[in-house]
Amino acid sequence: MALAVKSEGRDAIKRRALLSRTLFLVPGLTYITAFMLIPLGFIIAYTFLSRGTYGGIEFIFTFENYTRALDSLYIGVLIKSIFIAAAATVLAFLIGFPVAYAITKLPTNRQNIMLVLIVLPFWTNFLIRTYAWIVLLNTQGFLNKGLINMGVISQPLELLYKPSAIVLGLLYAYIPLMILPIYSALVRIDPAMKEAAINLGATPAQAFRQVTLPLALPGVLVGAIFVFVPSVGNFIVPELLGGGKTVMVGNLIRDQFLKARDWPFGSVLALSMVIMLLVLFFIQARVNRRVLGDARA
Amino acid sequence: MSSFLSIAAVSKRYGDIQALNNVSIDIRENEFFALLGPSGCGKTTLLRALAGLESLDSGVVTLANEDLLSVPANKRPVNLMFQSYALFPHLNVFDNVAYGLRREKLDKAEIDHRAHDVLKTVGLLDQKDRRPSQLSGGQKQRVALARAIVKRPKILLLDEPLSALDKKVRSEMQLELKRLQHEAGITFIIVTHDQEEAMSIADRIALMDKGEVVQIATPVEMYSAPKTKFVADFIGTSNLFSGTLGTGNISVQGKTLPAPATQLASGSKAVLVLRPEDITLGTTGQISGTLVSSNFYGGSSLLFVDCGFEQLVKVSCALNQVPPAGSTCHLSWSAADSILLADA
Amino acid sequence: MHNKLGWLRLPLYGVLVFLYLPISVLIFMSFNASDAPFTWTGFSTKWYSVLFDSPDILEGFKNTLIVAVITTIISIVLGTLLAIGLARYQKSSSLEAIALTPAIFPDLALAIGLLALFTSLHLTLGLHSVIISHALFCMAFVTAIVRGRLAQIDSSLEEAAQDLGDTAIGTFFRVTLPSIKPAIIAGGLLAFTLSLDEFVIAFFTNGPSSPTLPIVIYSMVRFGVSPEINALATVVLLISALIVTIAQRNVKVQDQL
Repeated sequence: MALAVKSEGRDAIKRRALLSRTLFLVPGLTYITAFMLIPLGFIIAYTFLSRGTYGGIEFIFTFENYTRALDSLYIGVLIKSIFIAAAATVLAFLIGFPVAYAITKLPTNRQNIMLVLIVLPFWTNFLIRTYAWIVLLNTQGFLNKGLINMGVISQPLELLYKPSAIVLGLLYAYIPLMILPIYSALVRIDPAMKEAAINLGATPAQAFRQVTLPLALPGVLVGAIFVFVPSVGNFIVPELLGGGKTVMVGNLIRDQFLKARDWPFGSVLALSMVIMLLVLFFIQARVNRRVLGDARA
Repeated sequence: MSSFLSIAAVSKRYGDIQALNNVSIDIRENEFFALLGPSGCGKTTLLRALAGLESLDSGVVTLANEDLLSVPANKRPVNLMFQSYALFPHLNVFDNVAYGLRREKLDKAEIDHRAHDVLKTVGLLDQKDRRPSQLSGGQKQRVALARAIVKRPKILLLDEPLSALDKKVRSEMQLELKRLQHEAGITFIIVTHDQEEAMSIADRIALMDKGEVVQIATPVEMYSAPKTKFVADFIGTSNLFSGTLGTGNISVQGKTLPAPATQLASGSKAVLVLRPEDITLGTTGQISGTLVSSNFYGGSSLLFVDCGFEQLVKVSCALNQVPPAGSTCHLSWSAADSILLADA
Repeated sequence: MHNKLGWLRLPLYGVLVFLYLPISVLIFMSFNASDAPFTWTGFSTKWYSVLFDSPDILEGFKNTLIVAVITTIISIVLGTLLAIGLARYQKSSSLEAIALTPAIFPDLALAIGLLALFTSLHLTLGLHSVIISHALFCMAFVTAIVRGRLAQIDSSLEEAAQDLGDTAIGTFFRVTLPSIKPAIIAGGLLAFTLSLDEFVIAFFTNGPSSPTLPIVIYSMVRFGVSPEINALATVVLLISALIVTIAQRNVKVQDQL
């Protein structure tokens, strides 16, 4: 029996499916390739090239940039950066987990209000949020004045321009990025999981430790990546709250590009940050598989 | 027979909703008991209260003459098989099953022994290293069951245990549940909204509606002697004729139908319950009408006959005797087979 | 329900104080009459009028607006197409990961990579190079939000439209687009704020002649605290907060991250 409508043939239908797939995917993916993947290729290529006399690069192959990065001076900076970023991440977890957990206990409409309140500062200007701490923590700032007026201290405390101030600034900037993924992981846990543990004889504390916590772990790791990665490469917080005294790897990279004009060496440092990101993602993906089984990505 | 689990006058309120209203049920040892009812009838609340996951406003629950409600949830000799199974995704099958034993601080050899035993009973020993995500629905259900019975509870609670399974696996599991209950010698309390399931699996059923127990009876009693119109309607398939009682008959939408002997006063509102299988097709009958359609159900067919009532009359009929659609059917039954209930 | 919170109230409300205290102090001090940065002398709005008399700030604001508007348009178009493509035509977790990477890629690495690319192409730096760079990571946020919305709506909606005789293009404009409109609006608003407030990438990929507002702010805050910055900061904070609040009304942004 012939169809009443004109047949277009299977090839035409296949061609049209391919066309729409191309139309939707190609522009965005081309853009990402051109402005993220190719630039990343540039960074990798630069790490093997030599620095030009007046900045820029010269096409002379070398490993010198890598050996230079192993210099104890730069390794020290890298370790210090990792240490500071890790401190901010751990603090963000210790504060963020109870906060995320508390939010899941609120009625649904209040959960949303609370989440908005927590993310709102994150979407505002980073420089200004960092600057606000100078206003607060300066020797003549609000906190010192308040403490002196209350008679707690007699001399103003130097709260700024030390590593702890950097950790505080990073914590402040990125703690919403820890709370959100932990919250998402926690609300996705079937409440029956905890009840099942209790029904099988666990105390509420055991149920939390043996069931809730492991199931929230993938979310915790996403949060850790979201806090650690922008922290370790940050150069604004060390400059504004660290007073430029504590040099972190972000400051070093910026200086290699804008002051020392040693692009190949700056590229090595930048690549180390990208590698850290990839390693962390790899770990997160593995933990996610282990915790949730193979069925869920 | 002595009562093993005694639920006496328990009530629970959530805001404006009375989830349980003065519910009393006595359950015997080694009984397979079903809490049956439409969603929102309070059956799940009662089940969760027995497990200690929900508190009650008032009432007393004793298990083997000891107060159950004062025992914390994690110390009750009562285990629950969750509707969603609630298997721990981060633990393999063996560790899921051993979880409850480890909380009892048993020694390792005994934990191994008991977990292996129970996995063998449910036929999942080969799968013991798998994660829940790698199992089929039926296998997950078996793990959930194994995880609960390995604790050797005095009572096993099952929350809609078969609802997530497809029909074929379901009837297999029904048999399996009955077998396990026999072997383990544990009292089972199952919650379900599926009357067929409750009828085929349970020794006794408590039918609940709007937080109250409507009737407690064996499946046969509940089918043959429903206490109220709700029970008659909920259990099995039936024709319900609401009308006004005369003497020896009932007037329904202008027609007079024979009624069985009754205590109800003449002139009162009543409902006549007539099961499809009690009606016979013949050449003459109490009522007659046109055959609208027939549905095939395995060994027999259910006919829908338009006899001039608001609803079609359902008649069951042997396969080889189904008349063609549109033909006139004469329906007859013995008044003694019908049931007369007061209509609220 | 919230009476179950118990001691969890402490971290919950504590974190809100932590997040909002510095900002509140800053806003408060922007209304200080004196130019002593830490001493309150009386209420005044004079620092706000100073802002409007500063050619640097006005120029920065104009540049930022140009960048943010064009970035938003590019991000919406590319991000929405990509999200639909990923949701409906090519389900691939690795492509999805690539599409979202610009959002979490270290901004400094992105910035120097782009700087290297532009330099080797001998492209003069200016607002156009900032726009190209901003559109890269803003697009990823639009993709994430629209993709999240598409995952919630049933693809059988589109199949039904086609089954009822609509063409592929007709289905796109009559069914797909209207159903993801709230997500596109939310994604666009977030892209706008992100571009408005972005500093690191703009700092590297901008030419010297046309600084954006964050670059102007950076050059100001490096030299310490002043009531003028406080006033500027207040304006910028309120603009971002307003836009994000509107975005939240369209889509629960926190669910998409």
